[in-house]
Amino acid sequence: MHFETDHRLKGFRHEVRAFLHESLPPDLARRGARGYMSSRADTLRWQRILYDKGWGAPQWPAADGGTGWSAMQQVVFEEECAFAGAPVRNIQAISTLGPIINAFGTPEQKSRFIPPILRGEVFWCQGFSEPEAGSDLASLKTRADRDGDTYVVNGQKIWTSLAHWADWVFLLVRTGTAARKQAGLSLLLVDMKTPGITIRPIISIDGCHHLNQTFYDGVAVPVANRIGPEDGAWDVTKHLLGNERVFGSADLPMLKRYLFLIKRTAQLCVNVRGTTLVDDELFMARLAELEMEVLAIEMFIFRLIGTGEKSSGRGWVNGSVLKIRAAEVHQKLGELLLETLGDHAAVFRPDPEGEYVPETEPPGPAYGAGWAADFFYRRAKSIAGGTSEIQRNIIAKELLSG
Amino acid sequence: MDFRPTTEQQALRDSVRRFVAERYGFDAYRAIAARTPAFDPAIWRALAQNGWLAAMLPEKLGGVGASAIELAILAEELGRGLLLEPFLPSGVMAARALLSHIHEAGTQHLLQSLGSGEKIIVLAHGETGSAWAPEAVSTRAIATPDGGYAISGHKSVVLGAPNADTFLVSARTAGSALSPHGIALFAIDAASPGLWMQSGKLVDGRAFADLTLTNVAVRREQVIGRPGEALIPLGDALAHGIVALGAESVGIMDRALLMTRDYLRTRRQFGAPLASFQALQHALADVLVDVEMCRSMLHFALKALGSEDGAGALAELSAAKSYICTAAKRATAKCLQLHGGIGMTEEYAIGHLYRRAVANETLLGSAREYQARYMDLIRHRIGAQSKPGVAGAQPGKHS
Repeated sequence: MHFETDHRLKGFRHEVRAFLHESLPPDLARRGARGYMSSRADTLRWQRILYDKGWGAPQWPAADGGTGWSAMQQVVFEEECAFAGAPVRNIQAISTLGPIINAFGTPEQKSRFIPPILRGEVFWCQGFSEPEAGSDLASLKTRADRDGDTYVVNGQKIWTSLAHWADWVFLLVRTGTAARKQAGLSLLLVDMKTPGITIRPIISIDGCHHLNQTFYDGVAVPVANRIGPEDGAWDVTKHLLGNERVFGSADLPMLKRYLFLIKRTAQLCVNVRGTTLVDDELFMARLAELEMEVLAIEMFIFRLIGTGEKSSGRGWVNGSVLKIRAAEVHQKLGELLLETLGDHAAVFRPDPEGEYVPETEPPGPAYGAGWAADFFYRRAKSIAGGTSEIQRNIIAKELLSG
Repeated sequence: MDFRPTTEQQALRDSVRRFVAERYGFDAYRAIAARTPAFDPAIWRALAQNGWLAAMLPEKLGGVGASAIELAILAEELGRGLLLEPFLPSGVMAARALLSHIHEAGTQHLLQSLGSGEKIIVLAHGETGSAWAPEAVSTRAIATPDGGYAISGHKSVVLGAPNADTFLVSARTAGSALSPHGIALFAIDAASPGLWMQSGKLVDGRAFADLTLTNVAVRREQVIGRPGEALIPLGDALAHGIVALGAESVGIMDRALLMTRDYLRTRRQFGAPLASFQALQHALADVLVDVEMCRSMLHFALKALGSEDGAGALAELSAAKSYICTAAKRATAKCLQLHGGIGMTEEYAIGHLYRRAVANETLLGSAREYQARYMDLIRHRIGAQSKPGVAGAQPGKHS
């Protein structure tokens, strides 16, 4: 056991930084730094640039098109990209579907679907949750009934992030009739242009359009688009509970970015007594507490990804531990950041490149443009991907049965 | 970074755990806690014989040159057992203070006595209201004509004092109360004329005393190192004390977690085990989250201690002290709550674990004090970053 950092990481960090300086287009960086969602165009363009460098999916195994980097290199890479304002990637494709196809797909499926993901030619969304199947995902009802070498899909999905930008969707559907609800699920890859698919936007409380309802009425999907065995998708999706995904969701670079922005902006917020938030003991105390949480989270992540699931002490629950604590810290840091905007913290500032643009620029500091939107969307951190309550159930079940 | 213990580290953990299971079970601990002072010479001998008092000493002085990582393992396992004997002020903090002057013959002799268990040597540095800041020393050492000193002052909450043979006392030869220069370390015999102890127990049973020194005469040979330059050894002792206290706290929290798990599984009410009630499941899960985050904060402390010297490490370690001690109180309190009525009894270990966590938070300076020190570090860094032309990685340069 030792805690020295690999000195070669410094050189690697410079390599990544140099690449970003050279290859991240300034307009992408500018938009990425503002704090709103990355656009479809930005996301795909950036994906192509990464692919051309050979960094299209760094966390995949080298044999599948990954870079073969160490866990710490992955962390450094994500950090540098975030700090430079690089667009958020199509996580559903890169972190979720890609690894599933690599692990469970046929050679034909891999050669058909993986290269367009890597090259940034196809934008994917994920259709899992339903209005009646959120935390209880296994109770989902969307059916896929077999008719020769086609499935006919009927049902609906909700919270489908960015479905309105997506070319394809991967759907968790019910193909079986088994009594045990997890035992009849399949994973289908569906072209969003297939007749019978309807998208209805859901505007979220940040004023943005990320989420959607998607409806499937007699949608025909080739059986060849099924990943993994029929009725065997639950085991396939359990594969998703891996630590890499939780590490991504914990978004350590964003936590560090919050700290940086808070400290910078705290100096700018001058009150009538001529002092700033840096002079405010209560503010600084909360900042110190949250920074300490980030320090602990960072070391926890290093432990999680450095040792692998089963050997890192409490094995399976570590992902849940991280998800619970990281969600809280994201929410509190987002809140503290918003506070640094002072009087204008609660001003509605929509994304200037979004669907609703006010005629005139609202009053208040422009440097915090996306922060209120980000603050409201952070409520989802403790809800999406398994609520904090579900995570606690997972931890307790593991602990009490062990 | 590598989080896997070496075979030696795992063996150390296993052997300390075995020792606690065999010699320091709950009943044995309670019997020792009932004594005044809470101390068993047989246990101290065993700690010495196992090489644990000398662990950080070099081989030539009876140790194995253990690093802070091994220290953390030792402290966690002994803390898990609620060890009452003064391992922290002696084997950790006095040893570290002396190790800074290991090239001196007198110091080597002291270290050997400490490591062999022959002499109980404890560090007496903290004073009223000083929160153990290394530079906060009002106790004065006035030079006497014979080349020695006369020491006068007060030392607050000196752990292990009632059993100490020797005190390592910090006192000022020069400078004002908070000056980093002019501090010296003295090895003072417990029976010295002019040294008065007001003894007591902490709420968790550990023995301590407040010391009053009135013109305690020390000879030149009793000075450790060069007078006036004891700040760094004191900082090093404190840094290791923080790591040991943090490790102990993780051990305490983890034991509380597992005890509570066992309790929830066995205790039945309303026709069902308590473990079937979701509110209690979630409370237990929150404790586990606290334990694991504190373990990671301990790793952060070990990383900071390994990579920085002196004041830099101490500033970083402030985060660990504040965070871990606060979480340990919270977690053990929650575990007590989950035990219901019996959590309130002396007969059940969970209350003892909670009391230990409460006491630990007050030792070496409170969590609030260390949070304030960490706030100072943040302010210092903000100030440094806003100076023009300061180099350094700054995230988000585009905004």
